[in-house]
Amino acid sequence: MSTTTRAGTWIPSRDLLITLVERKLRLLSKRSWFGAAWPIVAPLFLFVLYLFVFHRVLKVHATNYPTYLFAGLLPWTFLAQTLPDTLISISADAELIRRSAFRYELLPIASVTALSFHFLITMAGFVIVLAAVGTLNYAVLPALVIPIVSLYLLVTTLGMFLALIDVYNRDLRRLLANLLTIWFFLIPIVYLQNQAKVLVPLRYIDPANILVSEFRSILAYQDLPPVHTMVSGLAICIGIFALALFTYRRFDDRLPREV
Amino acid sequence: MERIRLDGVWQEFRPRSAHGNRRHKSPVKWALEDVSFSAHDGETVGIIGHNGSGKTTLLRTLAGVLEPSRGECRIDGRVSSLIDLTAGVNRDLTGRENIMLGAVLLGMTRSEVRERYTSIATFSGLSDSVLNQPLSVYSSGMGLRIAFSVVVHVDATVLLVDEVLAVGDEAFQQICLDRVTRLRQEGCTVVMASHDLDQIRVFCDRVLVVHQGRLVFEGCPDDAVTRYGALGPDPSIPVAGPRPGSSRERSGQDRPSAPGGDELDGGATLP
Repeated sequence: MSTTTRAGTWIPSRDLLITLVERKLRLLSKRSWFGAAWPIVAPLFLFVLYLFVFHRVLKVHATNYPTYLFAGLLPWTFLAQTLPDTLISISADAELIRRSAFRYELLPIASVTALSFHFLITMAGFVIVLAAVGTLNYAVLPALVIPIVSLYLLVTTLGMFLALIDVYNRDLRRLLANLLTIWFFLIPIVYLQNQAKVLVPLRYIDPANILVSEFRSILAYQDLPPVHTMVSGLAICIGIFALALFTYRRFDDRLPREV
Repeated sequence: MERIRLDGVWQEFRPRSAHGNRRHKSPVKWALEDVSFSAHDGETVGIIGHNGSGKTTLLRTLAGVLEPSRGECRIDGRVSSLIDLTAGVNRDLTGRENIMLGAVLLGMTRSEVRERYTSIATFSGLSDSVLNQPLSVYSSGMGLRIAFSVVVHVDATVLLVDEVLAVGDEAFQQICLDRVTRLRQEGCTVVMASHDLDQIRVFCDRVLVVHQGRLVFEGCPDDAVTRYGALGPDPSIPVAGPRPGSSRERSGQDRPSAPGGDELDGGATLP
């Protein structure tokens, strides 16, 4: 039985991750008027659009609906904007994989991390607005860290798996937008939970649904979500992220042949 | 000191359909078959062979990009490689930004790149104003200048160079070859794949001839070029005339009887 040994130099991951994130951020600003601001503009645009359609036209009424809407829309747009970009992160950088030996999961992780900055900036702006209008509970604000980390891990994990699938099959590129649209309407972002009682069970099994509830609880209702829900959610996100890392280890030797 | 050792390396190749999907039922093909060789400090090893013969696969194996399907590949030290000119470069990024990315991909830390940036830029011969423009306005040769400048600024003990120097102009090619010579003198092991047989003759201590994934000859440059010419016609490559004597012949069918030749190890044979 022959043994196999890989030669060469594994590239240090930290410096490469920083460089890939920096490259992603720079590319966002190339040949663009809005440049790196686009990921911030998008949720604001959707907010205005949904506010008009669902609040003014379809008369969806909740206490402080704009805050209710934006608190749910913000984590969702991060997920929905990031996944299509991350989906192609490996296939689009196939040349890098053919050239150097490095941790290939850094490509989707860099893609998600770069767009995380915009999410955090928008989130900070939202918090400032809430503070300015006096509807912010400073006591529960630190708890926001848990759903933010959970959301980052969830999106990164999904992105890692999608990017891997895209190497083998490109159908997801056509399907993803439709799947995200379906997912969006399964989560009470623009409508109220009690308007779609048939979808209530999803509140307990859909991770995006759970995270939207947590963001909304802290930012819109100024209330602390159940701690066990937040902690178990975070633990699950860490677990699936570890599973994604493990999966990539299994593909270390296959990806350079497949891309 | 031995820097490179390949022992019976095989690389699997997975055929794909016209749609790009993998053919699960098709038989396994081999991009490399039972390739073994070693290289030492300060040695320059050339690789020649027809297009698709396995040269780049061999370099990618040495670079650690491809894990051998079978066999062992050991490299002692840090590898720097220039295998694909376009790899890692983004045409929307400036030359300066591409230097950072290219260097980090070769294992340099960001602080190392910042420290050596001036030296890299100077070696490339491109001015600051050019380096601050996106690569989309560069010619292929200018792109090569950046890529090669980065590669030679890595503290590597093994340098892998594929058929890329042909893109640069004559003056820059000479600068590159001078630099390669200096690296050799400093103890760096150089492995270069090329179709430029004159370059191979001048620069290599030893040459491997790869044919259909098999190492069919290993020996001195003149004999390797002769052996390569005997493989068959390749219209893109000038064929050298036969010369007597060879130092190491791998093919059982073409085993030389010239003095000084190493014995065959019973490895691959020409199909």
